[in-house]
Amino acid sequence: MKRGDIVRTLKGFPPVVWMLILIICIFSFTGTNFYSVNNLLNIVRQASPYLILAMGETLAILVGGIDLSVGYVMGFCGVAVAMLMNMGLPFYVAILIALVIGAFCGFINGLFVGKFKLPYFIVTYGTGNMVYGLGSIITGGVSQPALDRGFRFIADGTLLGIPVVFFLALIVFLLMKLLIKKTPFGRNLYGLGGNRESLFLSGVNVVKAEIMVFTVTGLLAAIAGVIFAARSASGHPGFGIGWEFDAVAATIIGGNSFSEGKGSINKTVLGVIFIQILRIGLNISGVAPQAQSFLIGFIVVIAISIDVIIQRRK
Amino acid sequence: MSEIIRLEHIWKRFTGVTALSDVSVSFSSGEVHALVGENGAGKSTLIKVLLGAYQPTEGRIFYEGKETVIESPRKGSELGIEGVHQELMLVPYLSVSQNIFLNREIRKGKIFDVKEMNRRSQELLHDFSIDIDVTKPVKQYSASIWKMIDIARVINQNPKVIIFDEPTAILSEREVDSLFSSIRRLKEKGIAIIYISHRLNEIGEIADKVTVLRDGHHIGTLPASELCNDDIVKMMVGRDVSQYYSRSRVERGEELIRLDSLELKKGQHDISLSVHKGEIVGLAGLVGAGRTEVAEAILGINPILKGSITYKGKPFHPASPSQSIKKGIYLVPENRKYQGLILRFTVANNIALSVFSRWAKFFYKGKKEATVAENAIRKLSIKTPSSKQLVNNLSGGNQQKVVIAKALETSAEFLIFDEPSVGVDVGAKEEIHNHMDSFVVAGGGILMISSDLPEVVGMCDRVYVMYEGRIVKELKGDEVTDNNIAEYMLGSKVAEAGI
Ligand SMILES: Nc1ncnc2c1ncn2[C@@H]1O[C@H](COP(=O)(O)OP(=O)(O)OP(=O)(O)O)[C@@H](O)[C@H]1O
Ligand SMILES: [Mg+2]
Repeated sequence: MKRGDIVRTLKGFPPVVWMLILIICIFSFTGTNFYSVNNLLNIVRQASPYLILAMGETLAILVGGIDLSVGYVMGFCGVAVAMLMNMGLPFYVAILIALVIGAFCGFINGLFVGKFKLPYFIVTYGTGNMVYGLGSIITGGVSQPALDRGFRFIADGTLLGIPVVFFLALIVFLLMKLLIKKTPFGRNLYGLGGNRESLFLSGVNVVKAEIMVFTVTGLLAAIAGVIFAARSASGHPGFGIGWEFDAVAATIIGGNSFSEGKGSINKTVLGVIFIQILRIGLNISGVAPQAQSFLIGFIVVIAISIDVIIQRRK
Repeated sequence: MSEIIRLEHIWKRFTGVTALSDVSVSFSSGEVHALVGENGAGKSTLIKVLLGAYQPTEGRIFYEGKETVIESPRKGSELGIEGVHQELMLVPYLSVSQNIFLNREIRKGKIFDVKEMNRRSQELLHDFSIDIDVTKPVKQYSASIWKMIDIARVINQNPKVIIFDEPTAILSEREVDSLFSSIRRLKEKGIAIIYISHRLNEIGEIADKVTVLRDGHHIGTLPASELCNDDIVKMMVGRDVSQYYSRSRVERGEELIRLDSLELKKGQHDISLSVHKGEIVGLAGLVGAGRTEVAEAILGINPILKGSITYKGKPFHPASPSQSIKKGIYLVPENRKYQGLILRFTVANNIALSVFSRWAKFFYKGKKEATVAENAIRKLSIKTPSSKQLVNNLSGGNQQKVVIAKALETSAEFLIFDEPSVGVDVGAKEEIHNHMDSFVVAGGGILMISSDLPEVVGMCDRVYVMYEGRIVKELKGDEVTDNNIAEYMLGSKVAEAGI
């Protein structure tokens, strides 16, 4: 490689990479145990459900929409899996049913935004709240224990010393890559965001395509919910509240755009890693929780501004 | 006539493409200066350099005698250089008058004077005999009205230089006439006009000077009076091109599609037409006469209130483009940017757009896509460094070829072309027409909507003329002439015959 090439490659990195390097450098000074194995495992464990949820959100954003229901759907699916196991179903059957429930919630979102052309914001906000309400009614607001041994293995188990959740996130990521890169689903995904009219006139059933996208988003939210329930050994309808915004934030910080069907889930991965490291880094650096919240908000805004300014320069 | 802009040794390189190589040319006030060249010759690139949308890789620009860097379109605008772009550039959901006054709103104190802006917009458009509701979003108007709105917007800014990049490509004759009289008025006011068009007859009519580009090189600049069309074509292409339309003799086959008294709008139920295998049938009419609506009804985009369609002998109820395409009916839409292409997709992705889901239920066939695209690129001589280039980076005419390639890939039997040769050069137009011809020779049928009368006359076996939402006349054989079409199209014969 020539020197010019190296410089060009470095410049080609999305800004989030630089910011990531920056915060890692800072935390290696401020946080005493930043590089400890324990800490890394911690990052991985926490990031897995978050990453899966954010990848789903990215799909909704790539088609030019947003999905505000993912956090609630996640919570509800956690409740569902816990309650089903408590009813005596084997854990894998319970998981399967929970995934179907999540996909169904996504399907409903897709139906309303795709077929009836209602605004994304309203539809997904509405279904999210409905799901939350439903969860609160059936649980009476009490968290549901999920103590099945097989089920807990998802959260606690390791393979070759690496947490199982890491492999789960990796598998979901690879499957999503396959779906996006190698199937008509992906082509339609970018087509919907790029120019829906052209896609429609080219003979693609755009309503069906959009329903598919939201169904996958719902499914991913369900997977995140199941993992989270396993980690906390319980399900509660409020578990995912606010996660939808974290998911949107990760998508955008990673460098995806709200318009034009630009972006990819790779960028979302970077966004998730960034936010997760930021959180844990602040934690082990001993920053008080209130100040953490402020700092995360502040850094996110700064990060996005830098990104936008750099994009405009180009 | 004084020189206002001079370009000296301008180069513009993109990755893999040199769009302009060493172009030096100057433009004067009170002069219409035509810029011609094949698709991808560098015309649009040149004017984007003038407008400040692109920076030249090398070279200098002198404006009113002073060396100037036009670093942004804003700077260009401040200098008094405005352009009507080749592609439609309006904001779809803003109203007509909001578009015309975008960023130049008239204010009364701090607030917008909406009334005054509406009045002025109406006035500006009235000069082009367009009387539309200027408070409605532009989205609901046709491509040609968009163009006229864009032109009105530019004129409203009182620039010193106006650049028109293929303004007439989607305009019908009447609108071209009113555009030309307005260009003449502008010229008298001492404004410099740069005019790009693939319609050579127009150049003879309106231009004072002609500059020819070929593959980014400046071939020459000559007074228009010294050039005839054939000379220009030869300079552009470097070879002779037949400017005549040629059709193969084809036996008219069985009936492919028939529309019986369709009613698309309340009270207008006169849409009856048929297309047979082996036929190219024209649908002529002024902009707004309802031609595109007919096409969209056949595709199942617009509802049909009454009447029936028979396709291949069976009743056909269009429901959506995807269903129509499955039956072998395909539309080449008029607005390539908004309806035909996904600009952020590659050439190959776009060409495969209508067919990829048929190839693959689950796994996407990337290799097949590339092969198909490369064949199409060769077949239609699409100028692109590779099939992986983003369509957004192709020149306008080459984008249009991608839209045509996409249609030919669908293996449809009945194609509807809405303005098929918008913005393509003479050579490419000939190629597109040849493809249409072979399509019907192979047993297909074509319904062609076009505002280019010579194209309609040259290509069509029969022509239906629409006037105010109805089909008022079917012309066959020798009756298909410019004059006949024009008379029915404008409605003069219609009143007379009491249709
Ligand atoms: N942004 C870009 N990136 C890469 N290549 C480009 C870009 N813009 C233009 N080109 C290339 O530069 C060449 C000249 O393009 P240009 O748009 O100026 O052609 P044109 O003369 O206007 O053609 P047309 O008659 O089809 O509009 C083409 O080969 C085109 O593909
Ligand atoms: Mg051009």
